[in-house]
Formats: sequence, structure tokens, C-alpha cells
Amino acid sequence: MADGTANAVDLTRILSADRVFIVDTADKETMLNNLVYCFEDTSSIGNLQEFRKGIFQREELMSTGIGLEIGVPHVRLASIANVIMALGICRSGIPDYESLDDMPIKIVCMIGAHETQHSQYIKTLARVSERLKDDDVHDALLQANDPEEAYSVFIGDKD
Amino acid sequence: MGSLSIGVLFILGIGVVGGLGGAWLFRRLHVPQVVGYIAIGIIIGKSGLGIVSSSDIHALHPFTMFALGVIGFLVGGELKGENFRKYGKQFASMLVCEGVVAFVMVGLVSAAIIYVVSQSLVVAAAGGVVFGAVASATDPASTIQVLWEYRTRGMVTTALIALVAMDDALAMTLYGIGTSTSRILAQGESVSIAHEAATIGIELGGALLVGAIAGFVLNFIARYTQKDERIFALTFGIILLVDGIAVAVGMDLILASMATGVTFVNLAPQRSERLLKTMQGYSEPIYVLFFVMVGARLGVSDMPMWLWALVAGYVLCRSAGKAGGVLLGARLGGASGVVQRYTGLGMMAQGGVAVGLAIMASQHLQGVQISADMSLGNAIVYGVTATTLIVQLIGPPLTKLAVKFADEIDRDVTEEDIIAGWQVKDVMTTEIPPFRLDTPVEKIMAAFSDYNCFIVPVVDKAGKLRGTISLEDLKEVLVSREAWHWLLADDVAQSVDEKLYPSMPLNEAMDLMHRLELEQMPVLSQEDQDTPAGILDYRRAQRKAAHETVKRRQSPDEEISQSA
Repeated sequence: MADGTANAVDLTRILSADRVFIVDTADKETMLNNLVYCFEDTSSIGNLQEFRKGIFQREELMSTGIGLEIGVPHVRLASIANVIMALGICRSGIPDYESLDDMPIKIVCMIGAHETQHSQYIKTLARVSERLKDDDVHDALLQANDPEEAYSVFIGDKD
Repeated sequence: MGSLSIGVLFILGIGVVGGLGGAWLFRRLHVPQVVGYIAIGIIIGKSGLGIVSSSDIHALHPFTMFALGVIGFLVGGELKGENFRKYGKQFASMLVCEGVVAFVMVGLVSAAIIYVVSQSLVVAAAGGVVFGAVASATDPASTIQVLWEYRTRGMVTTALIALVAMDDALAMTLYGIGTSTSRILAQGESVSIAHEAATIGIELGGALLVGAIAGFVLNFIARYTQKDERIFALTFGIILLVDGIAVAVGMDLILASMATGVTFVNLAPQRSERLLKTMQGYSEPIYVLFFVMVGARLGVSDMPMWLWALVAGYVLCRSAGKAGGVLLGARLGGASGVVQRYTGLGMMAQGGVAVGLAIMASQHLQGVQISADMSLGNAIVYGVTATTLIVQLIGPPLTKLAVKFADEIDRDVTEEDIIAGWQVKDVMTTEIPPFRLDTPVEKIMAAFSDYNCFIVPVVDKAGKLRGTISLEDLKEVLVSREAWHWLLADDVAQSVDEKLYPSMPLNEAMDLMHRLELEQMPVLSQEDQDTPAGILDYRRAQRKAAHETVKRRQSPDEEISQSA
């Protein structure tokens, strides 16, 4: 479904190619940790441990496996300066990542935002969900040979 | 001179502070505060500790006159022409009956007692006529004070205001005729009753004329004056001028200033409403001091037993005469049942006019002896002072009872008054349940329609408030319907920085919401300060206050006719 509001989110401003990685196998904890530590070198996150804790606490409330092999772990915190994003792909699927449709999660897009960036945060979540549920984008991401190619597919350079 | 000024200023201070203390004490006893002012006056005055001497009271006489003028003006401001057009016949009938019945009953009992003592039919008749005339007056100041204090509104209130405003004129007429008759009877003076009546008529008519002209002038200047403060100051100036003319010419001061108030309020209903409200507020120290001085000047020293008997008879007959007269007049005038039953009870207060009339009468009748050690003039002054002392203490509570029985207390209110009197818990909604952090947005969307609300509280596992979700917060996901399944309350809740509690004054809570531009806010439990107790909705609170205002302002008669 095309949503003007969600489409207004510019993915290139919140995701960079160095925060995209592809692994062959991973469990949920490893995948989430890998994504969290993508932000080790950024000043956008004031407290990486708090960010990690927030991500895992959200998973405790309910798994962010939203179906169609997609996971969207997310959190809002005062220590995050701006909307941030990291993308992880596991072609074989993450067996312990619970999902609404019980299918194994293969694409995980982690999102963080400042606690007051409510509107932008929700728009980004909606945009990511919409983008990843597009069959073409979904398939192209799983077939990407390297992170750069996956990044190009995700942000729309290879549409 | 210097020491006298300091003394008077000190007495003014004692009067205001002590009067407010007395009012505070009496309010706690559910007795009108005006009784507290008078009681403090009695304590510090002639009958009590004697802190206020006769010379102090004399020095403060101009202030008392000014206070009477302000009170007269404000009483006049309550007399809307529409009420007279609507209920004029009822009021006239009640006025004449209550004045005349009280006059006749008090006159008869006073004459009987004086006759027993003096054994003179002429002296008894002269005394009876004066006591009767004085008894017909009702004190507008303390009666109106009670009505203002309890924010009354309704038919009994309207009738009371109209009657106390007008019966001074009736009392003065009866007094004029009475004293002339007394002088003729007691002293054989060749005074023409017709001449005396004409003089009284001119005095009353003059007061009305001067007052009405002042009202026109006030309205004319006020029309071209922008600032409220200037109109306020101008009004005080005009009242002082009217008072000055009335005192100089010997006209009735209260009637003159009342006429100014009536004229102004009926010429400029909108402009005068704001002014009268402001004046009522800022004139508080004036009323306090006025009533303290009323109490202070009431001295009853060494009265003989027969005079105490006369006082008792006077109080009983005057009360019965007022109540019975109002009942009779109200029936004859076709007034409603509630007016018939309760208006008389509210007419008991007796004040400055009665004492003033007694002093004037005593000057004319000083030479007439009732017994060896008591002249008729002194008997009238002592008797009326003692009855005033008693009636001023029981009159205001009876006025309160009258309006309470008529169910008119707390009806003259605005939305602001209602909101100021309420707490958050009086209007908060408690039916909206809190939602846990792991509740899917889908369920919260359903809650908005189920509970017809715009905000829901969000809590953690322990039930502590973690934030709120408003429809506004969800507008970004309204179109992404599939996200409703996987987005949780935790993802969309907004934290709450400012907190409301059930016992918080509603006006403070609404001011806070207005400042934060929030339509709804969660209310936290008083005992466990992190647990939600309900939701305060700004518009709902406003609507409820507006509804309550309309309900309270409706007279009980209107309520009955609406429910029928």
C-alpha cells in the first residue's frame, strides 16, 4: 500500500551502507547484538548498553517479527539523538526469532529514535514495513551479493 | 489631634482584622459572617471592652455615612427594572403588608407596656407609634451581605432585595406620620400631619431625584471612560457627592445612593455588571468596618426591667409582624408558594435606619417622661438599640435559613466559580481502563471508539503509569492498518511530564492543561502516585461546569416546571 506520509521518510538519511551486513546463520540474540554494535562508532547513540537493553526489553514485551520473514526491532530512548537504522540479512533464517506468521525471520531492520521523535519514529517504522513487504525488494535483498548491493536495493537505487 | 488620628487608625485596623477574625469563626459555625463582624464590634465597643469610645465612633461617622452610601449603591445595583415590571404588584403588596403589620403589632405591644409604666394613654400612644414606625424598617446592608455571601439567586432573593431596598422609604413615611402624631399627642404641639407628610415626601422624593441625577451623570461619564479603574474611582466619587448632598440637606442617604445604583444599572446593564462585581470585591474592608462599627456603637446600659420586657415584646411582635405581613402581602399579590413561605423569615435584620430614626424621635420627645427616671426619648433610644443588638445577631442567620429553605444558596454562580470550587476528581473520567505496554495498537484503536475518548493511559506490569496514547499520537499509523497488529502501546506511548492528582483544584489543573495545550491528561492516584486514577478531559470539565452553572442558576420553580 502506498502511503504518502511514510514515503516522505528519506531512508538514505537514516541508513548508511556500513550499517548493512549479511550473515549465513545466526540466532536472534547474535543478530540483534550485531545490529546494536553497528552503532558503536556513532555519536547518535549516547549509551550503547542502554540502547541494547531497550531493544531486548521491547522483544520481551512481544517479538518484533512482523511476518513475511521480516523483523523490525525498535526502541525510543532519550539517549538517542536522531532516527537511526541498521539492516541485517540472514538467508537461512533465524530459527528462534518468533514471528506473527511463524515463518523464520530473514531480514532484520533495527530502528532507534529519540523519545520525543514520535512522529518520525512511527513514520519510519511504517515505511520500513511497507518497503520490506514489497515482494521485489524482499527477494532482491535476499539475493544481494554484498552489503552495498543490499543497501542500494533497500533505499531504492535498484528498484 | 495627632494622638486622636493614630487612635482612629488603630481602631480601623482592629476593626478590619478583628472583624475578619470574627467572620472566620462564625463561618466555621455556619453563621453568616456579618454576625461575626457585629459580634467583634460589640466586644470592642461600648457594650464590651470599651476599646472604641463614643468619640471614636463620632470621629468615624463620615466613614459610616460613606459605607452606607456604597452599600446603598450596591443594593440599588441589584434592582433590575425587569423584576419590577414582572413582580411589581407582588412586591408592593408585600412591602405595605410587612411594614404595616409590623408597625401595628409592635405599636400595640409597646403602647401597652408604656401605659402600664406611665399610666398615661397619650404617652403610651406616642411611644407605640414611634416604636411601631421604627420596627417597620429592615436593614438592607446585613440582609444583602448574607445574600452575597451565600451567592443566592431565585424568587425569594429577588423579593428580599426589592423589599429591603424599599422599606426604608416606607419606614420613614410611617415614622414621619408617627412622630408628628406622637408630638401632637404627647406635647400638644400644633404640628400638621399633612405638613409633616409633605416634608417627608420632599425628603424622600429629593433623595430619589438627587440619586437618579447622579446615576445619569455616572452613566454619561462612564460611557466615555475606557478604563475600568477610572469608572470605579468615578463611582466612589459620585457616591461621596450624593452622600454629602443627602447629609447636608437632610435627605435619606441610603435611598439617594440606592437611586444612583438603580439608575446606573438600568441605563447600562452590561457596563454596570462588571463594575458592581468589582466594587463588591474591593468594598469588603468597607463592609467589615461598617458592621464592626454597628456593633461597637450599640450600648445598652442599666435598662429597667420594664424596658427589657418592651424589648422582648418588640422583637417577638416585629418578627411575627414581618413574617405574617409578608405572608399576607405575598398571598394578596399572588406570589409563588416559596415566596409566601420564606421571604418573611429573611426580613428580620434591623440596622442603622432604625437607630437613626430612634435618635431623631428621641430629640423630639425628650421632654416627655414615662417614669421618674426615664424619658420617652431615652426609652426609644435604649429600646431600639437593644432590639437592634438582638435582631442584628439573629436576623442574618434567619435570612440564611430563608434562602436555604427556598433552595437558593449557591445559585448565583459563574462557570469560573464552579470550576474554582471543584477538584479534579469531581469531573475526571474513571471508566477508561489503563492499557499495558504490550497491548497491540489494534486494541487501543478499538478502545478509542468503545470509550469515546481521545487518550488512554499506558502502564507497566506493576500498574505504574508509563505514558499516554492519544488519537493524535496514532495518526501516523492510521493508514498502515497492518502495523496495528505488531505495534504495541510501548511503541506509540508518550511520556507524561506534568502530573494531575484527584484532590488538585480543578482551576489549577485546567490552567496547566491550557498552558501545555493538552485536551486530556491522566490523573494519578493520590495514595500511590504512579498509578493512574482517571483521565481529565478539558472540554468535558468545561461542559460539566457550564451544565452545573445553568442548573444552579435555575430557580427551584423553573426546575420543577421543567421536570414536570
